[in-house]
Amino acid sequence: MKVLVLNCGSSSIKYKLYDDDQQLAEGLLEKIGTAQAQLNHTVILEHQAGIELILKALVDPEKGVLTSIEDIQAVGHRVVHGAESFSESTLITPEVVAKIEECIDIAPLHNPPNLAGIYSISYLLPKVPQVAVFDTAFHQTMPEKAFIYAIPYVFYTRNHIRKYGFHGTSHYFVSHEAAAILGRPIDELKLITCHLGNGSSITAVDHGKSVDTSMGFTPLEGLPMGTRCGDVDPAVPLYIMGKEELNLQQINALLNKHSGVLGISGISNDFRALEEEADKGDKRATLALEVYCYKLKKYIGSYIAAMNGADAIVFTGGIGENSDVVRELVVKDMEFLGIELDADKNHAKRRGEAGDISMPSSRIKVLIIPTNEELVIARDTRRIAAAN
Amino acid sequence: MEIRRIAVFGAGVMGAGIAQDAAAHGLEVVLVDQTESGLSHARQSIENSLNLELQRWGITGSEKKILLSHIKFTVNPGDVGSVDLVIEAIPDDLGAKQDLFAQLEAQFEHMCPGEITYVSNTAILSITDIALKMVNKERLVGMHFLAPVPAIKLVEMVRGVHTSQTTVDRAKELARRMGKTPVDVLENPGYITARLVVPLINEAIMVYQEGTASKEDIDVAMRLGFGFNKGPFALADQIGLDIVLGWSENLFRELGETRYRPQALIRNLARRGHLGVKTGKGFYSYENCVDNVEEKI
Repeated sequence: MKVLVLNCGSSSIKYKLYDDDQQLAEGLLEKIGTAQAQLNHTVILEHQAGIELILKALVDPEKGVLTSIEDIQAVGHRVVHGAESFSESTLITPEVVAKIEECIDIAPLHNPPNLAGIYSISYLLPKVPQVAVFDTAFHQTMPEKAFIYAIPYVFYTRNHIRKYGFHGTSHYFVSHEAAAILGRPIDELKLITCHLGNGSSITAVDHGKSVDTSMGFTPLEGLPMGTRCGDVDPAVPLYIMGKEELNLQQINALLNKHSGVLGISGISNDFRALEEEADKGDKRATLALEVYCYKLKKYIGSYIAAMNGADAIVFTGGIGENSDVVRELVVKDMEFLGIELDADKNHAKRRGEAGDISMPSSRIKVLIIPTNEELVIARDTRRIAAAN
Repeated sequence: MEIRRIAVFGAGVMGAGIAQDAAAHGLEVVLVDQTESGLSHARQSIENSLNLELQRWGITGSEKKILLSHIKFTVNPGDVGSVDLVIEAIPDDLGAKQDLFAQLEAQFEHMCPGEITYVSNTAILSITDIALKMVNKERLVGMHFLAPVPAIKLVEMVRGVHTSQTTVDRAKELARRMGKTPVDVLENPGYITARLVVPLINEAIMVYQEGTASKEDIDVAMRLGFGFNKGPFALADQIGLDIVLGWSENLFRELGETRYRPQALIRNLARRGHLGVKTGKGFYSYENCVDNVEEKI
């Protein structure tokens, strides 16, 4: 079955086309909504126009991989927030769309472009079944003690405020890949998976189930990120709002778009740029990297405590897979816990390569595993579309 | 049919504010003015407003660029092309508005027959009167936005005698797209906002001139005593003293009651070009202010 997988962000669309597990095509459309948007140098001003271009590219007589658009038998969408309504992937119906729309309040950066992708496909390919695969679904196995916040309980029952967690598809994928690399069944492993990209999260995966994760009610909690603040004293935003007379929209943008390693360094949210500047001696670029890695190290320690041990720490995502500097800063000086990094293996790992970068004596293995959320989405989409 | 592309005629404070806010909510906007200087002033004021928002962390640099790329500036109405809705935001002069809508109808009915909604951003005039020279009077509705448009979440929806429900629904859809709450009003002079705020400002001036209290203390009393966001003097400066003066003159003429009579103090300030926040000086001085701090004069 040919399945198109779409990951619609606010200013980009990533797509992959699969025939069963075989990837036929992939692409990235960038800067949607700007005059500089490019896919083969064509100006794109909105998601629907972008998806039309993707469909055109797929059937292009020279470069395309399909003879007709009708060859696409199902479309799978990454959807960031499914709240408690979705503990697994689901066929998209008008009711499902309405529930995803309800979640816009708590995922304002992500759910609207995800929905734009769904609306666009409904318009462009009205007969093709669509499946939503949620970032939050994998974490629905967390126990109550991990997801309840210490605020009046009524906010959970009335407003559904709790930790949800994100990047679930990636944490699910790499934890299963880790089991394969370790040659052990997942239901006997304790894993800590670090998805480190422009958004970053870390998950404790106990016997194949998510038991705790760093992102929370929204993707703002947890590790500092490219532009998001991660954990801060909740009194800080209140204090800034009062002091600077900021409104809700302004404080929201401050914490989501102006903070993180960009906010600390004042340079960039791109870790490659930060590492370059740190090498040149820029103190705030160095500080940004240190704050990021220190926070991650503390999370790893807390998850080892929560699971009473760990068999492996997995690095994935753009930074996790490619930054030996970050990996080293995070896991060095943790020999007490049984983590011994092989520095040579860490430096030698190439982009896109999976493997073990810990010493043979290391009780807790350190793995790099390239994530493949799209493959999970394609598999779920195929299964659900075939059943309907 | 979804509203995706709109034209705004008149690039003053209101026109520029409507264009900026519509673009911020994902609409494509064509902003039309009679002069290049009017357009360049509008572009500058939109950029200033976005820079201020950037300084206050509300947007990012790339969001500013995206927003500006959604607004096309032109002096040639022929460049507008196909649109779903046209908003007029020229000064509140009945004759000028009547002529403009007659011209707009001639231009757009030919291009997009039967599909365009016409909106007048009047604060005070009758929609029935404005529609006088139109053929399809049912397609005109009033939307009274308040300045600064991006910050104020209210729009008064003004229905004329001929305005159809379809037209009202469409204008309300635009209001919702722009994150505004619409309130329905009849086309009586001043609707809700101007009708209530003019006597308040007039009375505040009298309290000040009688020596009962300073402007600053009157504003503080109304803010803290009654939960006003701004006191009457700061509010008048924000609305624009020329606008307040125009509202007073119109309400006094239409309703004949002395509580609406234009105050000499406002008239004198307006004559000297001290129109409030937009000129840097009104009841208070705003020069060199980067945020909402009010400096005493």
